[in-house]
Amino acid sequence: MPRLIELIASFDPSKGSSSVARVLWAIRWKLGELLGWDDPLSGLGSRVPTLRDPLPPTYAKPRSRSSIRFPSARSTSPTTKSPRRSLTRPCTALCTSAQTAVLVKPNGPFVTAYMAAIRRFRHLIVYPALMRQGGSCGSAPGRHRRPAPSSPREPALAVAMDRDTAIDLLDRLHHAQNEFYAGGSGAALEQLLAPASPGRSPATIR
Amino acid sequence: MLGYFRRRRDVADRTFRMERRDVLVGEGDRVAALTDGFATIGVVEHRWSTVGLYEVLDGRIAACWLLPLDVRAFDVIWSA
Repeated sequence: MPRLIELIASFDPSKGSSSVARVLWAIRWKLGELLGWDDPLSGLGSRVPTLRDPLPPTYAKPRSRSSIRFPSARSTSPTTKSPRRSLTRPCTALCTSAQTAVLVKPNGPFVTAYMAAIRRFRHLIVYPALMRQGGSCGSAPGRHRRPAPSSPREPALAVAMDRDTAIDLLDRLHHAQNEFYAGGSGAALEQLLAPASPGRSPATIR
Repeated sequence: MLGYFRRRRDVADRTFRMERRDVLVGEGDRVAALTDGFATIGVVEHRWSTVGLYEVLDGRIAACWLLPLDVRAFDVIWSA
């Protein structure tokens, strides 16, 4: 997930492979510059509240890389509100597919007319180029695979655990714990704890 | 981890026992279990609930994060 967010956050549609789309984006940024659409005071958190604002403080405070904000200046403009929501879903054990929705709400009749005027450009040129660019980023060689373990503690590959297997393991663990707490030797318990290995500490509890 | 278990056994004077209630599995190698604990510490019988987040490696427990549902009560019980 952090890699996906990093990918989306660094995504710049104005640097895509379609020269026509690049020209249209350049025109859009120039218009924004002239009309002040992309000023910091016109973006998220100023003119329009972020999606994070209504959340309880516990969730509203960015705590990790998965809380990275999308580029705010270009996520919204005085012309539209366009919160972007991304969903991921498991595809296989090796990859994750992503779906992104851009919800557009024009601000006022002028903007409705503006959006109608550029509708053909958006649907025929900009969106297809965006989809191609996004798709090539997400499926570039090596992008879809989970990175190699960064530390010996990180498993090489996450494979979903069967619930019955998990229940069986935890029942044996709790049984062994109860036996130990009642005065047993702890031999059965030790067998259920991962031993230390080179570069890896023994089982820990936090 | 065994040292932690041993300290709890000593504090509870061998009255400590656990009962699993529910188990959640996800996409990876971590398992969450809702578990009730029972112990008599001093002359007082205690009962509490925790969520244990277990990291599983080759069919064994590699790490556990213990999350009491009532942290304050849990601390009071085990600091007695």
